[in-house]
Amino acid sequence: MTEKFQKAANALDLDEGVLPSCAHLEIFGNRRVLLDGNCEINECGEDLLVLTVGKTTFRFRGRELCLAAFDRQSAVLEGRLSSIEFE
Amino acid sequence: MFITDWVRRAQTSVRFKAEGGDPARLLRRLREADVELWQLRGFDGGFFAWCDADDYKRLPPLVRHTGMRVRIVKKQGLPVRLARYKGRWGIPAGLAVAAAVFCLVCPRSWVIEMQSEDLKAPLSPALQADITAFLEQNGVTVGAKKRGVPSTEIRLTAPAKIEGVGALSVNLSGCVAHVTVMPRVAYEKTRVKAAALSNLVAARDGVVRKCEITGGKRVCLVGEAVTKGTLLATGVVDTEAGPLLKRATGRVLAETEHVLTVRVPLAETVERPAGRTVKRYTLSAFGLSAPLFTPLKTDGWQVSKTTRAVKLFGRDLPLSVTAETAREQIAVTTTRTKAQAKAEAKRRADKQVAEAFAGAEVLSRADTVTTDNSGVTLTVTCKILEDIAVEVPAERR
Repeated sequence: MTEKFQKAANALDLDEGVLPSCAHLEIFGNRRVLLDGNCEINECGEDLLVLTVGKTTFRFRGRELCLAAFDRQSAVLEGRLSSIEFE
Repeated sequence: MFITDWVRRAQTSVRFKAEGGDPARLLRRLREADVELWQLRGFDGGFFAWCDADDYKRLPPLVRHTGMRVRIVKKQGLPVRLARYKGRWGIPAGLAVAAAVFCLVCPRSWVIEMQSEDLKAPLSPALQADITAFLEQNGVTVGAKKRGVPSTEIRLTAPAKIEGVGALSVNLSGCVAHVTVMPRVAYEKTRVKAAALSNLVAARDGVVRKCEITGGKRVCLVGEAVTKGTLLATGVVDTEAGPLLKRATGRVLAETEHVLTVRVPLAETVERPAGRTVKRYTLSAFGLSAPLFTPLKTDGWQVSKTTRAVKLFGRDLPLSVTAETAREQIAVTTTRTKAQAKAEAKRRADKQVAEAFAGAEVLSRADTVTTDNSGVTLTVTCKILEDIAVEVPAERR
């Protein structure tokens, strides 16, 4: 179903963000990240945060990491980021 | 963010610590239960997070079976701060009293400030008393509600109802009613504009003895008998180039006749001070008066009152102190002989003549004394040389 949506989005020249279960990430320097989507926390620590949005898992590494806001639809991550990994 | 922060400060929120067990499982459960968390910080084996107090109450069934221990480490919010004062009834009672006083005091005027617009003509105490009585009739008193004061009606009717007032306006500002008064200027002393046309007319009947016209054209003759209103000098001067319009100015000295009557009874009862004086003070605040003295009968005493408002930085406060001075009077009956009554009548007549004709020359004086069983009547007929010219504006035609 997701592949059909993707083909339809490409054919209509639409942004990939319209696809359901697609994470929307906004990064502000290395201090703040806005994450839109159905977020799930897999791991949380002071230097590692692992969030899953749909089929994508994000690993945020850094120092003094904290989730400034977290609910079903979005999450705001703050801290000193050193890297972001996508799986 | 700013508004969200302040909304959260108004509500009760708690910071809790969750440790042991499976943090990821708990977070998943919290997310599914729509529990909003913020400032979530992880550490080895657990995490700290903030949530609403209502959401925290929903935690126990969610925490169950995750093996985690959850406890509150901090509370914040307006209800938490106010709980500190629980049982202190004085604070809410004081706030309630302050609110009630504010609601009672603010819609009313508590100070009436009266001032004259003409700095050279301050208001006399008699005029102030008349104005105060007029304002009281129209609902402007200490403690009266500001809404409903007929400012327009007061402004329109005051000149007709109060003698001595040319214009009067009431402006309500805060709890002060500012009364601005323009005193009425006597007709004879009305200043005529320098460029206006005016004539000199006679203020009373008399015989013209001397004319000193400094502006305009003289119309009257020396030796002419004039009546009140007779034209003495005109501002219209005929010249070769045509009529010239100017102000008529000058002095016209005329011989006028005045009659004064003084009566002195043979037996007269007057009140004289007995020597005893009592001072009493009354404190007034917000329209209420509190006497600072014990009651004392002062019937027949001569009483005078002076009220002084308490000032702060030059502004009147709704507090005043009234000092009442009461002087005991005794009735003293004076009996005179006819000769003594005549002498007293002459003394009083001399005083009246001196006061009434202070700026004029008394040409002649004839005193007529009439005596009867009860007293002496002295009639003084004076011929006075005085200035009878008064300037009045004239209309151009």
